Amino acid sequence: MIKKCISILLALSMLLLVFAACSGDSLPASSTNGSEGSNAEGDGDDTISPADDGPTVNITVATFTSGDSSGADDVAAEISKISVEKINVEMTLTMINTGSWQEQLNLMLSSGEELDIFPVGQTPVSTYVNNGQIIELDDLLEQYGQDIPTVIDPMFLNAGRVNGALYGITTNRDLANYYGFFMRKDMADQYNIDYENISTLDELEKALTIIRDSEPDMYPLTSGVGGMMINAWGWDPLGDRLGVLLNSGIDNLDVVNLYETDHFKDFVTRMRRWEQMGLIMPDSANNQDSAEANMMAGKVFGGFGHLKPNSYLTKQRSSTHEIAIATLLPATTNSSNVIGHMWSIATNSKNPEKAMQMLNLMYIDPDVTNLLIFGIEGTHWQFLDEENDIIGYVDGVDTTNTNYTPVLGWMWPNQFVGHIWVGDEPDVWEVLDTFNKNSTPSMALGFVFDNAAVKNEVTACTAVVDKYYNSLMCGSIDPETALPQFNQELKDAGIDNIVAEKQRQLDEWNANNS
Amino acid sequence: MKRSHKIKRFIPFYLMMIPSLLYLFINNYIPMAGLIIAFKSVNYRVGIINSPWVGFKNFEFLFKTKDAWTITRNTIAYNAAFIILGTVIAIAVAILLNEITKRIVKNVYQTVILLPYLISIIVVSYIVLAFLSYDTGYINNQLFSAFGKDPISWYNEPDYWPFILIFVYIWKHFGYSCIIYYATVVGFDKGYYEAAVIDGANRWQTITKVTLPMLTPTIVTLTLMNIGRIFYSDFGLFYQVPLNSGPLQNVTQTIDTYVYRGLIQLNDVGMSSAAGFYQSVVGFVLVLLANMIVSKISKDNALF
Amino acid sequence: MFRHNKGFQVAANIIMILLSLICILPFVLLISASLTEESTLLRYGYSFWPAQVNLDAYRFLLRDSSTITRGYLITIFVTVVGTLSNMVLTVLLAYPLSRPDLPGRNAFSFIVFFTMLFNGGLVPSYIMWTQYFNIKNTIWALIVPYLMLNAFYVIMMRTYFTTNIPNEIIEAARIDSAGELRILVTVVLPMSLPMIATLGLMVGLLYWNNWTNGLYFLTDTKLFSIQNILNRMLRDAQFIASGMAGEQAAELAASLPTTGIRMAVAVLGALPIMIIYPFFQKYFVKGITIGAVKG
Repeated sequence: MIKKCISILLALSMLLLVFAACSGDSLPASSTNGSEGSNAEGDGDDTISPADDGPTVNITVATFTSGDSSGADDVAAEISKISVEKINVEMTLTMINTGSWQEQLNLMLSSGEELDIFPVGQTPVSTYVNNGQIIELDDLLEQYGQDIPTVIDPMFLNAGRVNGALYGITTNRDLANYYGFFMRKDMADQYNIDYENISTLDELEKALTIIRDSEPDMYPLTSGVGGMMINAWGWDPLGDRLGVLLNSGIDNLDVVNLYETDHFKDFVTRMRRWEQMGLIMPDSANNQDSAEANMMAGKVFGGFGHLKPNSYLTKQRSSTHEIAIATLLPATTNSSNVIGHMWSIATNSKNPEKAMQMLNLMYIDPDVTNLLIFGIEGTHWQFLDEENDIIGYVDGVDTTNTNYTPVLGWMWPNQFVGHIWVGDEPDVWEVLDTFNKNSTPSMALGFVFDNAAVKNEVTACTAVVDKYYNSLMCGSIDPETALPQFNQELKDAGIDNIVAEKQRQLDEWNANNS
Repeated sequence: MKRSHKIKRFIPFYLMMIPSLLYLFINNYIPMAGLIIAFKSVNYRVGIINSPWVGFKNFEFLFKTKDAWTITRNTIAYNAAFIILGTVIAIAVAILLNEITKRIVKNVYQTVILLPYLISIIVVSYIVLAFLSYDTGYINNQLFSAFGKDPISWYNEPDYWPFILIFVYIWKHFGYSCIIYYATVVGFDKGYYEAAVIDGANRWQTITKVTLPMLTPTIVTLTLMNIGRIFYSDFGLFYQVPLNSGPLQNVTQTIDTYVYRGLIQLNDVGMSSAAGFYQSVVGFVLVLLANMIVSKISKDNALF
Repeated sequence: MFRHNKGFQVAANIIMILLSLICILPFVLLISASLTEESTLLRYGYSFWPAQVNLDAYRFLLRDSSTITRGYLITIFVTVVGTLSNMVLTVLLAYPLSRPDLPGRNAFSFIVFFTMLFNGGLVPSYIMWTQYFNIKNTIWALIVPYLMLNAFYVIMMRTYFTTNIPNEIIEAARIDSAGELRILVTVVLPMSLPMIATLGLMVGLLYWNNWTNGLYFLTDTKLFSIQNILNRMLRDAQFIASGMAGEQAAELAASLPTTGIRMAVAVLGALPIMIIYPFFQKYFVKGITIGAVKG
């Protein structure tokens, strides 16, 4: 028996050596940092360097999408026509379905496959940095991406810094959120609910009680998919909600354990009261369908939400009722919003300079943007009102049979320079831009927490939060008993270490930035 | 002389095994070198091979939690229940099927009991919801209200869930597991049965004294293999069927779900590799022990 | 054949009927839900008979019949080729291991079994298969990695060969100076039909239900198996219904029955097996009787 084990172990170690020897080259070797090895491109006076006499470089852009995108190769070819002329770069576009995105991205990054530009965000950017999967962008931005700061506000641009170095560039989309309650407009009008003037939870409670009494077959509210009542309610989650800044840090820069605060206790106590009053749909914590789907079925009156100016359009589509919104908390921007989706350059990239040039083009060129977002004119879309920049599907084409589904404009670098799809408000980009700039930025905007030192505590605390958060927020368990339990378990899991580490990093960041 | 002649006789056998062994080598053994990831802090900038070693640091999160005992207990207890109950029911059904004479009836039964296995676990979780939902579920809505009982908030009451999960698992798997036993029973030499009947055995005695003993090698082999997997769990069963409900976690959290929940933000390949390594090692040790015990009792039935 | 006890027959049948009901009722629930109108499902829950029949779920899934057809064809091809390869490799490995006098038998068995316990994880496998064997975005990605040989089935076959094939038969064939491979094919396999059928069924299911190989190794949608396609359609439906797909999909967002689609996806995935399985079952009868050889 022992002999067998030893022989197996020997065999394994031999295999290890074989593997090590063979795979030395295929595994990602050390990257050439963008600042070294920069060819004599010359920063030039034009914003886009003219095609140089070097060989045409192929840059691979990978991202996620929904629906059919088998037409991506054609789109990439069209874009390449522009990019070869302007920066001597050919584009390869790899579109991956959202369901497979995280998995396939991880595999592409770990195996050293050809990949230059991709979006980060679903996993925090600091993770990619710690794993050595993306590269620093400061020098590249200065030399090859000079136009980007003209279209992305520096406040948002600098949010992509980890430990001072820039790693990701955010996109132009809804970077701020306000918090409110969306509901069925027809019923609100029917029962004279003055939703425009509801600004506190007490007032909302009165309105919901009216609904409960007048519509016995309907629940006033429910949570979203997966039992999430609301993700944030007046706090800056500082990345993972383990240690937060209350009131967006306007009062002070103290990182606190959210779950020990009175603010949290008040909210969940109220939710419990609402649940006992019959205002919340039962089993909300395990909800498998969105609030809108339940509204469509006539089961529910409304729900909480993170909102932006045209949220009501989205919700109207999915709930098939007209939507009214009560604003409860004003618009704020925190790092999590901004870094929730950014574009980065992979360590795998063999030509970071050209990659940055490509990125630069994607940020400022309207033709490239329209191709990326909507596809090819005449094949996928056509002008419906050229003067007002409104477009729609080509006749005979719709969401079910197009081969380049035009969704997710916010995913691409700069949808603001692109066309407007019919049905959206004509001034949608201006409104959104103003909304972003007028929101109150959190005092910690630009701070990104690096959890490398407290990984074990983060793991344990995440598991504990997973156990209690939804049930507390949906009022399905009694906070009197559950909240102390919750906090005790968090303490055992080491939350104080996380809070302390976060505070230390935040103070350091603050000192460096003021 | 005799030895080389002996080996020569077996050459055809070794030749037969070569393609399969080659596949195992490529598919299973070469990637096993990746086990080193569990002991490294991987930085893709320098590559996996050049990343620094960190000893057992990646394993800490599995033990530095108050839940360590709960998740271990849950994983082992459920698997023990699955192995014991699952085997008993699969064998019982296989024997019953064998008793049925009409072939068409037998085939219908076989097809129907395989159905649950073909349904993905996510869909099973929706079926469970169809029964257990608080306001629209079949049990609360139709059954209880018919008898005037108060509805139960199933997804918030942990006490029921060990039974629910075991029932769902067995329901999903017994049709599939029984096929192996059935095929084995069908292949038995009828001569043994004839001899038993001549000796005056009734139906029950035939089963217990002939069928079961002849099934023993199969039962032992399958059980030993299941023991090797005792630290693993079906993620879909323990995460999706309870709809990821918080209050139930004390009875539904297993090692796999704990690792998933904890690492979902961290995305740390070293830590998830460490978890897998830990599960493998424990299963390995347990199987070696079990195999040793079995080979002491009856050498033929041991796995190796 | 000897007579069967009547009472036992009745009892056995009753138990089997009960079990069958427990198994089929949820499936009926499934089919009913796939045919029910979405709002009715959300409001009133699931029932055994659709309250309001509505084919929208199937209409959505089957609208692109060429994609679905291609998915089924690819899956059938992969399943047939994969299953046959697996069966050959399994038998070729299990049979020699079942010979009690094979030198090194225990060591080889251990080598086989060890693969069930330890694996290096996804990343090393992925690197090997894509960098060295270049199978990314080829049909072989669905056939070769992970699925072509499985220690569990090897040991299952080995046990069967050991228990159900008496050595005397093999010795008798050897005396007739048949080669080992010939003995395997002409003597042993016909006697092992029930287990060969079991092996074929289980491996077939393994290939048919597999969606992870496609998830890891394919970005070219033309190569997707039916499971990958159905999963993707479900995801797309959920995305559109969430309203986030923009005004482009507004009409669709209102009408997509996502819960119904979930159920329909499950039905479409399981139905082909249900149709094929009865054809398999005729192999679950004993092969050659060996009564003649004994005595």
